[in-house]
Amino acid sequence: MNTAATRKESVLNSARVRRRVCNRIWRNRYIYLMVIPVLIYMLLLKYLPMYYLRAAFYDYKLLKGFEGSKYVGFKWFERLLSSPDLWQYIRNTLTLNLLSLAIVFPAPLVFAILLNEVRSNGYKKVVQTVSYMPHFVSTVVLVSMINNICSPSIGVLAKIWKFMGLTPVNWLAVPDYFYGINIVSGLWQCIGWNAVIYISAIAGIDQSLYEAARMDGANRWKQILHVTIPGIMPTFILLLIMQIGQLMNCVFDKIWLLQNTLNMQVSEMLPTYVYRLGMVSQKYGQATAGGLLNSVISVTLVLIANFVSRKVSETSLF
Amino acid sequence: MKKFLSLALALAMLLTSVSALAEGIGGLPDKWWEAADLQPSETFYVEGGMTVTAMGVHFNQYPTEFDGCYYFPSIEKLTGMHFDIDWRTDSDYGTQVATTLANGIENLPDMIHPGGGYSQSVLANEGAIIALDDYLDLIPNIVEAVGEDRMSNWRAADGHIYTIPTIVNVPGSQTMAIRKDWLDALGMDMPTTWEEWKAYWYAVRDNDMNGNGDKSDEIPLVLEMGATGERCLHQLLNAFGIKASNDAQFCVLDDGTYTLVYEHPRYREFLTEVQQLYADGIIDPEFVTRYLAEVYPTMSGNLAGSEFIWAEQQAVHTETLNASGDEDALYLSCAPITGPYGDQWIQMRQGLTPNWCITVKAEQEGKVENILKFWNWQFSEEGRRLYNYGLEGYTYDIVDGVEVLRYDVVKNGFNDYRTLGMEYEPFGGDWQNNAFMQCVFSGKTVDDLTIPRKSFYDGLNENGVNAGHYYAMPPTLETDAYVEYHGELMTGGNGVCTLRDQCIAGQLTVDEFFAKYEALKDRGLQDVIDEGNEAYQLIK
Amino acid sequence: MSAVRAKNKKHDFIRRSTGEKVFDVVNVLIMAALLIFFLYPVLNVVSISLSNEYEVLASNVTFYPKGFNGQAYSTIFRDPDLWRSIGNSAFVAIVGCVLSLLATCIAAYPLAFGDFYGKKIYTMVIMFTMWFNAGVVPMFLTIRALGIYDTLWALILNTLISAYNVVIIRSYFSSIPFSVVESARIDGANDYQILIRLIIPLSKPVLATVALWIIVGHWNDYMTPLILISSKKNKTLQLVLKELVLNAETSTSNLASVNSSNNTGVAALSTQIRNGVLVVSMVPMIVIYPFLQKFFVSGVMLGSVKG
Repeated sequence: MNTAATRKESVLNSARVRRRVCNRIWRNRYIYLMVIPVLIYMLLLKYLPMYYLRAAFYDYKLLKGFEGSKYVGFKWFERLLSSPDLWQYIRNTLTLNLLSLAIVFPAPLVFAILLNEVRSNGYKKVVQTVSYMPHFVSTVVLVSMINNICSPSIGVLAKIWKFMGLTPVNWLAVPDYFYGINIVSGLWQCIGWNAVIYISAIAGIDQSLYEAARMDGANRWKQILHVTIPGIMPTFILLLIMQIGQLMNCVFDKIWLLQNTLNMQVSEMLPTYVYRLGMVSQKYGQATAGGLLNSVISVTLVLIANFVSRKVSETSLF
Repeated sequence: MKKFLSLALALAMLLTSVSALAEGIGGLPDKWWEAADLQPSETFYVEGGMTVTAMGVHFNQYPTEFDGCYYFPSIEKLTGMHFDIDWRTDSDYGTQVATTLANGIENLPDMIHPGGGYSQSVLANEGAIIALDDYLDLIPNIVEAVGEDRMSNWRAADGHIYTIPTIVNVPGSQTMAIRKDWLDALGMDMPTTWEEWKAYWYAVRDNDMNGNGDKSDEIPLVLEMGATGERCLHQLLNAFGIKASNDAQFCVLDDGTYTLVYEHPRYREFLTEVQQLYADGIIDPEFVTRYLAEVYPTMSGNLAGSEFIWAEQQAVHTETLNASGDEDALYLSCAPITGPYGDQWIQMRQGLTPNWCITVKAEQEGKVENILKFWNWQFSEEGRRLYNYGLEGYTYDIVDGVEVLRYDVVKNGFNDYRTLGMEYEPFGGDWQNNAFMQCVFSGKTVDDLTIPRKSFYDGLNENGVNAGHYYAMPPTLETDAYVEYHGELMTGGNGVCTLRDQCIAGQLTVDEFFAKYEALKDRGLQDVIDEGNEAYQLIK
Repeated sequence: MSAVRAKNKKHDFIRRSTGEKVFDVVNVLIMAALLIFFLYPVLNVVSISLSNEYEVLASNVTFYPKGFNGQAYSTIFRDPDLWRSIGNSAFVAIVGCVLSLLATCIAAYPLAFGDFYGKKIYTMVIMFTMWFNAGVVPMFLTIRALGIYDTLWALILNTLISAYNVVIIRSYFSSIPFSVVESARIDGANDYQILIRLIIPLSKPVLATVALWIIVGHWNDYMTPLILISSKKNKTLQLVLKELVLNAETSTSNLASVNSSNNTGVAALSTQIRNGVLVVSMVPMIVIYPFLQKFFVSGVMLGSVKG
């Protein structure tokens, strides 16, 4: 009896639930009309190719495909993880990226705020337009510029050094200078470009907030501190979380081209190592394994950063 | 805005001036080859024709269109073979091969050019190409053109032959060069011993040779890093009697053993001496970053005391320095550096380059025989003439039984010659010394040349300053162990090349270098040595 | 634009303290220093491409061209494929930008304003693509399977929706008060109408930013067209420019003739072409910036909606 009643109730309940569910789906029908095409796109163009990531577990032969290639299990992962040099390369990667995170990453934010405080609109525009030009300089050209500037025989730096009575050295061949050269060139290339997003975020700040601040007698500094910065903080944190996902990566071309045998003990990074191992000798499986390993570490870092951020600042990726 | 406007204006002006120049290369009308009367070859002709697809790398100023030059239409008329070539660029060619392979056997071309990391060994390992060993009787002309001496360069590390080569029968074109005017200013003669070379280098270091008020900016010995990153030390290795392979990694010992250069009995001595030279400021402080483009500023910037470089550059930079006001400046090609034991060597130009591999697809479709017969024809007298000289009566004439290129074709050296599509190197063939030299001289004789241009000729000519010093480089054998460990144990962050340079720069002592090298041998470098020697003895 | 000017005027009515004046001066100086820092290498690139070849060889060229030699540009513009490739690149950049923006907005809208079953999964599906990348070979095979290989649409579709842009746009959408959407829904508008009539106009600054990213991304992209385009008529600008640079490099590293007296410049040509190519590909991107810039200051509308 009892059971029949509960069953009846549960049937009723589930009917109610179903109705509610249907209702909610129906109410969101246009949302689904947005979601479905996006999902189809993602499936076709982003997930279908990912099927190939399983090449990491094969001695993959491109021509023969999965049927003709030997399954090797975790061989590539074991090989990567067992290299005696691996930790040195991970340390190099993290050192450069943490330095970048501390210096290069916040710089565009500072630049955007300062630029916003420039009073002359014309000057502002000129500075902004010029600032993003370096983004278009390709890595190859950038590196040849760096080589020229740092050359002890013909470079500008050498001339300054000699002028000050010092003996120039081949900066590119001294491990100690490698990170510095990377940071400065990174600043040059990305300050203006990366500031664009902050500039647009500043533009999105409600002007009435500035009015109110001024009414309260806030000076410019206070306005920056209490209106501008809080206004772009969500963007900043969002980018920060995404940047943390890049901690294990590097600007591959630049590092690769700036590498030389004399700075190699600090300039060999995980991505260049994987490239050397996998791609120089065309080992598709091994290269995929290296990439996969990198992605897994990156996602872990992002999940941690996202969790911390959600707890602390209410901004999160998901 | 003004800047852009003026720039645009300048560009527009240039465009108009350029369009006027764009016609009449080699004094020949448009589509000149269509008028030529070409009959099917007697030695090879496919009735009904055959289309062969290929994927290759295009470079230089050769025409890219199939019908854009005389060459392919003429081939078709003579042999009935129609080539449909998918030309790719050299950069990221590896990625392009990878996608082609991944596309499956049915979508492979009939011929594929190995490159971008996809060497013949890798392609063979993928199962994409066929070995030609059983077909050698179809290509006697190629076997002959390769010759006994170069057989070991033709074979892959596994002993098989996989490629149709392109052959360049011209002498080496790189050479040592020295500042003749600096030698004169120092009151020195052309150095002929190791001690004399050292005396010159130290004098360049200690004096303000270029007279700019700065004693410290002259570089006594500039060394080009080379694209593979290892060539810079070649000349110095040679001076110590170590006759290294192209990548300066392998050599053949006196007893015929093929091994890594580090195993050479003189290597320790070489390293000790070079380390000292670096510490003394003789060797370019930038030797690890001195790529070809970075060598030029040292030469035309009046900084280089001596260097190992393409022979033509002595002339170019002498002329540049002369034009910019330093009228005495003179780079002269000279004999290779003489080592402490009197060794004096220079590598011979690698005459044979792997060019086309024949794919399993061509085999499935039964095209192999005709393709090989065509290439045999390409290396025949008829094919060679078409490749080197074009069409008789249009681009060359026979004078006393010798082909002579017309003046209009060679008057701009290699430029017009190549723009017309002659010596179509991306397609390949047998480039002959006669044609090469006719382009070098542009219809003139040695006596007409200026001193720097004469020096260029001296540097590349086999009877010039390097005569008697050439040696044939041993091959770099891509054995399984080499492929496996090359990235990690040789060029990698702690690889032997890295250690070597760190040792030269004084970051490691010579003993430390050898200790670390021994450790690398235990990690797999010994396999590279053993498998290399095994393969070398096999193909020898 | 006018709003900003008004804001500045209002600023001027308020008396500035000494501290603020000092700040203004210092700020202007910092910006001037940065201006030189950014500009020098770019000027250097332009100068090298236009200078006399001797000066380039002797690395004497710095801020402005020394002498004049237009050979690099004449080589670049002589290329018969150049103009068509510029047209192709422009088509991909413009059409790709419009479609991508629309698709990204559609992808971001449910994340910001939707409350539906499967939102978590939907989020993960999008985010996952940010870190796991299958690589170029699988991409090539997919595009082939879809039958759009060797078309400009392959380039457009391949990067139509990127997770990164979705995140950026979603976060901007989220800053728009939910009441805007709610009241529109009550008025009977469907979500597509809300997105197009209300949300997109309110999001101009972020859309301008993302548009810039997409346009520049397409314009500068080399790897995707290298893999996905094979026929000559569909080649994009970067492919053609790369071929030019490579050709210049290989032809200078080979021997020139002993006798032609004008060969001294050949060694410099590859450097000059490399720099000239940079200028050619850079100019259009620099020119479009001012057009997008005006959207960055129109975001002030947001305030009026709120009020």
